[in-house]
Amino acid sequence: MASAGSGDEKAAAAAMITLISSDNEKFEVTEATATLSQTIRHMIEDGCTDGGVPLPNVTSKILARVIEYCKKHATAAAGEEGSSSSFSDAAFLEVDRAFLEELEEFDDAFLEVDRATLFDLILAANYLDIKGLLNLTCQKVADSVKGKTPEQIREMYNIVNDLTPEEEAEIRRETQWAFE
Amino acid sequence: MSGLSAAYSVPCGRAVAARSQSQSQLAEGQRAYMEAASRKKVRGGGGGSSSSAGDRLSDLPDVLLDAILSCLKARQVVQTSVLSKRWRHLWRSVPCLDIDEREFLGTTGLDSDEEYAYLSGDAAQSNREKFEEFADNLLVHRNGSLLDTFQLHICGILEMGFGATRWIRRGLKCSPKVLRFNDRNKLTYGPMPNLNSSSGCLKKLHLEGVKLYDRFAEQITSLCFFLEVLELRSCCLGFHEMACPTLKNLVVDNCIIDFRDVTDIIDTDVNDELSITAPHLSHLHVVLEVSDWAFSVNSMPSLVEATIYLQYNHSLDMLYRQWQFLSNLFNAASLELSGLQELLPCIRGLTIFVVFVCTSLNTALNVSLIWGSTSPVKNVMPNAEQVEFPTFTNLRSLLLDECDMRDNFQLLLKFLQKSPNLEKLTVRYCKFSKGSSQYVNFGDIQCGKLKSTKIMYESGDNSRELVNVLLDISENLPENTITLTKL
Repeated sequence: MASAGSGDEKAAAAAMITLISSDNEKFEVTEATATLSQTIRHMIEDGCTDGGVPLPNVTSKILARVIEYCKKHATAAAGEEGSSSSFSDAAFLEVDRAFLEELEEFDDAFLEVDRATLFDLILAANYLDIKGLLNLTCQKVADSVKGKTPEQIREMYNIVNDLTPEEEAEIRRETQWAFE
Repeated sequence: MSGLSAAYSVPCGRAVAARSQSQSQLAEGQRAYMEAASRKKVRGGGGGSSSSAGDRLSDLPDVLLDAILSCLKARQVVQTSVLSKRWRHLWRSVPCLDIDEREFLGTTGLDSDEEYAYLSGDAAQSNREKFEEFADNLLVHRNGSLLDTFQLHICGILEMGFGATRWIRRGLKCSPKVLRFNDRNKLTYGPMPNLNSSSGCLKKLHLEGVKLYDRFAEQITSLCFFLEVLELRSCCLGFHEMACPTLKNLVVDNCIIDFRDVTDIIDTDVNDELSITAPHLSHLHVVLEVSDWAFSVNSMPSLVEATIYLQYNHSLDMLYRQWQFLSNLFNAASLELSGLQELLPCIRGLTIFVVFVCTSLNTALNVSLIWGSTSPVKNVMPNAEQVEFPTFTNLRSLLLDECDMRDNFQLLLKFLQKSPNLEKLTVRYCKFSKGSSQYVNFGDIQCGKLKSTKIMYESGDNSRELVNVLLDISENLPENTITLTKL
């Protein structure tokens, strides 16, 4: 059966990459989607993806979300390339703008997750080196603490203040210029 | 432990030394991950906190906390030092600094004119002093590591020149790739500090509210070998020439040109032209108040998109100067044009030249032309037939905004004639003559690819004429759909 596969089929199969999560679930994605991850891109370039790419740091739950993000943004990237070469309607500015808005909406909806998932996404984005996802998720955390006092931030993120009162007073003295 | 490291090893049977980039990348990611994991373990094992959620934030490796802190404004970043031991020194090495005076106004995120309506008197003085002390201390006490981004936003109506120059200088010492300086003080143009060899890493430079002299332009040319984006907003431009071979994106918005402060030129034969040479420019956005000075951007063969908005006051002398700039440009671009003399004092001629600027010889894909005129100039209709248009081979989308069409549509028809690949035409808020136009039908218009013509008009505009013209030549526009929108 395998030997009967035509060249075309082989080419199509070669363009698919199998990602294997830490709990051994397999995800088949296109190369365009997978290469949003610089880490995987380098592995593809090195020809190291035969038999699947094990990702021991990423659970199937998180990997599914990451792939969802990559699929959406890979389409966006492809759209941009297409527009500059073959100048379809999509190249017209307002269409671009509409598309960007759609992408923004997608990102906003994508970030509607609980905190544990958000941190898992940050770690996965870092591990897989997906710059857009990393920026997006880090920005989300930054936005959540924006304008908050240190006390409020500690409460929000269960940060245990392990500084002695003396130490904290000393730090406040050292950086008085940022507090008063 | 050995079992663990095996599990994390690079999933590549043929790992070769020659090509270890992906390995090291993976290894780095694993290190960060394991760092986080081990920290978690220590925390859990130590039994410090029994909170079920745990402190996922502090568990992140430094590089990720840096990334998060980089999204915050500088004052808050420093304030995180009291969160816990883990956070004590993180602020010192955050790679993106965003020093913002608005953090000292009691309100953050103001982005309207409200921020300029800054408190006056003692309160303002006190806020300003606190801000100065903060910025000075921050730049002295951070650990001196290199910066990716340095942002400084100042506002308020107090006198300029207080500390901004010194802070920018300190920021530049950390070799940032991006420098953004906003001075929202509308009263003065502060001087831009010198760039030096550590500015050589700059890829993006955004400046607002500063005065830029020849020295600045020379430093851009001689020091910034990687500069790709230059954005000048509400600046006073007092330099004559700037060359930047690497520049791809140039924004000159709401700037004025003024050489009067240039003291070394006293004689009457002053050089009052400002020209920018950027051969690799792909995006150009110019909103410029035309003053008594001339402005030009020299040959741009890679231009993809241009938006030009020239505001002028209707003196012909100024138009003449503007025309000079445009003709300079034309020379630089080695365009073959005839009939220039006839066009000299007329707006239409100017418009055409601006388009030449935008398209810079047939390469632009999108052209937006916004022509803000404060008063109509009468009886200076051009003789478009005498203008030799180049062919805009790449032109796909053309926007004519607030353009004067009372030339019997000659400009428009010329464009149609010379843009064989035009796909989209937008005509917005244009002026039309009343009564029937007597236009010359350019028989050789062939816009087979024109799919959409959008006419956006206000009540009272006589856009009917334009529709008539388009219907008359509809045989030459087989795919065209006309949409009329009343705004």
